[in-house]
Amino acid sequence: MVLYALISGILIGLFYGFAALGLSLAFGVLRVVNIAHGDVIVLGSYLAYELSTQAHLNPLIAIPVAIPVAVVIGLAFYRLIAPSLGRSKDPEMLSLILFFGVSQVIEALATIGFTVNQDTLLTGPVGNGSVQILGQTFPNYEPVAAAVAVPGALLVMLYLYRSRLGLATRALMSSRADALLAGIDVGRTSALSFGIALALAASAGVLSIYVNGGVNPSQGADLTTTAFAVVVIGGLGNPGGALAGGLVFGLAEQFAQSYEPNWAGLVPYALLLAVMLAKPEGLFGRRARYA
Amino acid sequence: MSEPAPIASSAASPAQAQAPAPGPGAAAAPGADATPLLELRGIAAGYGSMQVLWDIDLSVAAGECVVILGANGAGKSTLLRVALGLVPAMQGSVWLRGEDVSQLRTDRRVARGIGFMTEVGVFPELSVRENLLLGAYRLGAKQARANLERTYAAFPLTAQFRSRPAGSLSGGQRKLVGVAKVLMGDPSLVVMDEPSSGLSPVAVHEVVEVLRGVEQSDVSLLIAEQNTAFLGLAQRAIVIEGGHRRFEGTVDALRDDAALKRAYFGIE
Ligand SMILES: Nc1ncnc2c1ncn2[C@@H]1O[C@H](COP(=O)(O)OP(=O)(O)OP(=O)(O)O)[C@@H](O)[C@H]1O
Ligand SMILES: [Mg+2]
Repeated sequence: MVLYALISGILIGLFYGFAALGLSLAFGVLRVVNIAHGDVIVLGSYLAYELSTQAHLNPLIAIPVAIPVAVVIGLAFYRLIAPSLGRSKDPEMLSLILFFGVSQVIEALATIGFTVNQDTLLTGPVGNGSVQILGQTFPNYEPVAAAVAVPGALLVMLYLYRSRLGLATRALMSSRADALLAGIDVGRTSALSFGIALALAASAGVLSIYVNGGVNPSQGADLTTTAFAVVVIGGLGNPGGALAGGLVFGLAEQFAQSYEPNWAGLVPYALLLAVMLAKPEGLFGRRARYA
Repeated sequence: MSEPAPIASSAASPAQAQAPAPGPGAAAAPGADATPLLELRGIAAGYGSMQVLWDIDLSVAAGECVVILGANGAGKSTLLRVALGLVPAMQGSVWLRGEDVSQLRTDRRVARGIGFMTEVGVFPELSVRENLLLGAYRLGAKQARANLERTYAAFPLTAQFRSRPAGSLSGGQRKLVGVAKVLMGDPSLVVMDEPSSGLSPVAVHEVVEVLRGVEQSDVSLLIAEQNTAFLGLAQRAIVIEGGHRRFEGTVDALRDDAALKRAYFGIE
């Protein structure tokens, strides 16, 4: 049982980290929690559902379809809200309200389009077979989710830590004014980051329909909450931390499920509170921002 | 995107560098030899509806060092932010080499060759090397790497601590990295907000000495300070009190103005 919980915790945890990465990125750049993050995940799930049930394609194809669409929507949406945010006296509050509104709109639209019922995919991403890992049996979506999440997260890390635009993005996360002073086109960099954040959320949605046993229009709030907990455990404003936070969250959840299933829903959040009290900057967060 | 190419420090013409500093209130005609590198005309500014600066004129000629003196809250940082476009002017205009840049975004002003070192001076979360690369961000990746080698040689400290987060260095080390970072961008004008803040007298001395070298390389300097140690670098100074300009003139004239010295700096 230990081995099962450990492996499952790591596989699911990698998915959680991936699902939270976009929230962390958007927070780092916009300094606001994208409340609609979970709703974008839901949209990714529905895209996978439609591709599978209507077009009879492998649902994983939703990922390459969703990425360019989400990036374009993210770019456009940022350009749309940026002028109002720039003029606002309290841009954090305004964007919080904006994202709340967007979240409600997506949920309403999804309800109109797909009804309030839970939709599930009966066939796994690679058929219905199970996978053996170290003598333990797992549904195939668990390793598949991890196999998508790891290279996906790796690409984002390469972008952030190895590219020039990524360096500009991290400068922007550190200080918007100083990024401007370095001659960085802050508007373009923010828009791109937001687009990538949405693409990550939508891609995670394609996996979420399996990991969370289906999709329904009101799932978004729960998914945002989970992603937020993962990001906070790992350290706000530190994308690498989100991945580590996902592992911690996944392991906590899977161990609880193996030993105290009734408590499984509570354990990750109890952990969140414990982390906040003991290490407010998150387990893997850097020190609080200077100055 | 297609702004005219910025003029690097090496391109600052000697003729300009030797031009006499314009006298008080001299609004040089654009294109004239004495066109200042930076000129602020009749600046009024504030935050929201609260005005903190009234009718400030200031100019920096090529090759010149000007110090802005003033007590806490006088409005020094605000004036520098207006010059860079981080705070909009309520009135007045900002000119770079005879061009009105008042409506230009901060990154575009930076692209015209102004480097600004804030009080923090560095991105604390990023490594020293990354900070230096960001200092030359506007020049492109290739030029940035070339300047990096030059900077490692000129500031051995930056080579030694290249992989450390800049925020983990001491205050004095951080300021030196800040200076190195701003010079990475080959600016023709370096604007600094209180380079002495949080530094011991010894560290202040060290920063002043580094800036003396910068000055000799024909880079213009505009420094907001409370510490009179920086007056030694300057040809001219302005004094701001309560958002108004109280003095403008040569450093010698300022030194002779005993009343001013007593009133603002408590020095005899
Ligand atoms: N971001 C801000 N929002 C509102 N008011 C501000 C802001 N920054 C500065 N002020 C106000 O503007 C006035 C001038 O401040 P400024 O920072 O320009 O002074 P300073 O001369 O740089 O002072 P110091 O030497 O302490 O840095 C002060 O009254 C200050 O309270
Ligand atoms: Mg100041």
